[in-house]
Amino acid sequence: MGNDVLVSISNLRKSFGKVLALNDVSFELKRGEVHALLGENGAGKSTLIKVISGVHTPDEGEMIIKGQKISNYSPKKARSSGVATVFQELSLVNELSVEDNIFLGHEVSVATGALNRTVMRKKVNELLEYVGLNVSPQTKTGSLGSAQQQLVEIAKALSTDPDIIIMDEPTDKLYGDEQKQLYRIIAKLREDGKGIIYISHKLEEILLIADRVTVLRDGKYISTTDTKGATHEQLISMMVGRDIGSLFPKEKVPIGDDVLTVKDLSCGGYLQNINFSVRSGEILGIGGLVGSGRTMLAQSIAGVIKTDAGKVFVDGEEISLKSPKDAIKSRIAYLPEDRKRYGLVLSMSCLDNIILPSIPSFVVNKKELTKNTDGLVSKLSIKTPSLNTYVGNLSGGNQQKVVIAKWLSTKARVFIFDEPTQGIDVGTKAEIYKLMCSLAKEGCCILMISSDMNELLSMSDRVAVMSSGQMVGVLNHDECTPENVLRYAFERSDS
Amino acid sequence: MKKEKQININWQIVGVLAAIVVIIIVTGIIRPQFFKLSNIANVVRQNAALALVAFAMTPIIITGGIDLSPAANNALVSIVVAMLLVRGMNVYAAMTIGIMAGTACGLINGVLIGYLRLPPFVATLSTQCIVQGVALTITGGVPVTNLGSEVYKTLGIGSIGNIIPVNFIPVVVLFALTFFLIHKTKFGINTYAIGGNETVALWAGINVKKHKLLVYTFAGFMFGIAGVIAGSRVSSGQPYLSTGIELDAIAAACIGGTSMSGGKGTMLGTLLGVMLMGLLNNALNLSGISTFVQDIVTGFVIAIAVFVSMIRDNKN
Repeated sequence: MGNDVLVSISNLRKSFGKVLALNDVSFELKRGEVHALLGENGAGKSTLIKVISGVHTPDEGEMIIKGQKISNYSPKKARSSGVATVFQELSLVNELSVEDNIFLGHEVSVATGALNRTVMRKKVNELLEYVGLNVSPQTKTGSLGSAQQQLVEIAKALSTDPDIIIMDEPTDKLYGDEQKQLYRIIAKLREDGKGIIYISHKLEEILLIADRVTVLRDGKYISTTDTKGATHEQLISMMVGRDIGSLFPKEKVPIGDDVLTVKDLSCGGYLQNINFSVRSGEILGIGGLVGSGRTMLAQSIAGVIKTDAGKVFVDGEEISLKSPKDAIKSRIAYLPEDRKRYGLVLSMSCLDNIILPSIPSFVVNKKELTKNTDGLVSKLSIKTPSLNTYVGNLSGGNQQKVVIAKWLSTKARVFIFDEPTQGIDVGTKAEIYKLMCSLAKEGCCILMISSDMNELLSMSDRVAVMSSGQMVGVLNHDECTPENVLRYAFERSDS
Repeated sequence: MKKEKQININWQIVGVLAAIVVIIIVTGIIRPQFFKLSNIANVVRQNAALALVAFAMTPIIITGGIDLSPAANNALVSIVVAMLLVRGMNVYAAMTIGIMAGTACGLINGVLIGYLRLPPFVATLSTQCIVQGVALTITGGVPVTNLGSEVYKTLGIGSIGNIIPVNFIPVVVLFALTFFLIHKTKFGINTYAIGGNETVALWAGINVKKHKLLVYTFAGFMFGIAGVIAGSRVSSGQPYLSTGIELDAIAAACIGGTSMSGGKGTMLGTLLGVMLMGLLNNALNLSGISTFVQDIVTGFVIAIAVFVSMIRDNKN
């Protein structure tokens, strides 16, 4: 038995700042096994594989790889221990040949330092044959299709002769026969005694190719089961959490008429025929997996992305959305995820950030604006030494409040929150929820994109679920259960 | 929120000021003629064009851009004015047309950078090449001289009441104008926002393309005036006028704390940067140090100033 276990992890703990990403997680991978990792967005899957591949160092816990206890782990050490990762985002250099990409970072050289092309060419041909890719090693990688690039990516991972192969949503960009080819490669690897860690959101696929599946939730280990005999429903119920705390101060607010109406909105292949409306006083939650088109939808309503077709109405009037400026004029506010990159100018003061979309006149009277903004600052209890403080010096929660203040000052009626509480401590989270409720009370309508299931279910009056660019279902308040949301979210991606 | 009186001390500016004071004291002791009014007037005259170019360069760098075309712009403007004066045009009309030519060059930069999205470095490199080429072509490479305008000459080397150089007036007025634009208007806040984070600026409803067009066009206008000042000082149209002025202007902005990666900088800092460079040159001149060595010293000063401001940034 002992020799059969490739990876053994016990009681792993990893936190980023105040956020506990992995809490007491255990995991095991055997030779000749495909072990799937399953969980919602942010459940800790990525963190776990990054620990195994040496990118993150765990705070606590033990990791044994091929019988050796691991210390001072690093990506380089992971590679020499036989761990290889097939990345979700293609990590290939388009300008280089297939051959050069496969050996990038571990080229074989002769004594003079020149590349040993003969040895590399032989190895590359073996690898390409193994993954079933029939192209010349000198082909420029950029000229290949995305499925072929995925195979190059796998060949690259196999070039170090790994025993442990991590695959992060490898079939995400593959269809039909391409998927089947990947399954064949995986079957071959398994026969050769390799161990494969497989992350996927496609339940069918997991039941088809994996031997065991480990479910994570909120960074915690839930359970590991054999896929033989397991069902869809079982897997979903393992992913779903039951404990919803009293963190969510959702208030009942009278619901009025439609404020925002979206009709037949389409954008490339990313959004298809989206129809919905949000009423005044209502919080419409938008659920779905990462990449299901939720942010695209938000950005197309905010005028950031140009759409191919569809109409958007505010208070019954059709609006033109050629730029974010148009959206702001129509009293739409978009509070993006990743506030450091998209929400704030970190090199400017709090005041300048708050007034940016709503500067009233050409000549700026900062004294007067400071006086007007002070009210907002105390209403939101933004903790800052002064309005002149650089916003980059504030904590994450206070930065998010500055973003909110910025959009409150535009007197918007439609608020689109994209992951409003990501990376924010619990106390500030509750304040932000309260604020959303008070906006609803004032007659605004709110769209809230959230990957946090508890937040989504507790704060929303209705939940719309997106999958593969479509709005696959809108759940009324009494239908809002984790099972229903996940069922819709996983619906199309299984097909 | 608790009301606290916050005094934001800009250490970069304090540092440059200190350096200026040191230069003044040291040079004053070893070369007393440094304090002569004629010497000070000379420093102003020598650096008036540089000051205007640096004032216009600062907003550009704050947006995260750069402009390599001011020297060619200056040359073209001086030639346009000179050719018109030779043909007997009214001096004020000639200067206006010259400044308009400079503004047009800036407008072209603005279109290339704002609307066609060329990287500023490449866009202005190509316009500086083109404009320089035009300046050489229309003159055949020969300076245009014998302008015959006393007013133009006075602007270049004259002084008011034998003390204040005439071209000190546009420097003061245009510093005030640029200071107002950058520190007291919506235009200024938008400039900082674009340089700090272009996506955030765009999503806050700022018309980024138009704004960049305006910033580069304004710079073209300022370069045009600098061209008139530089041209009037030599009272001719010179196809190689102001060579290297773009680098001195960028250096002055950097010394004054403007960050080359955009989003940071002040007009006061740039003004002090120009003063530091001008006084340093003058001090080295008076001390009889060769211009070759002066370049070495200037290079060190730039590196030290930027290094100090990086230390400051990392602390924050």
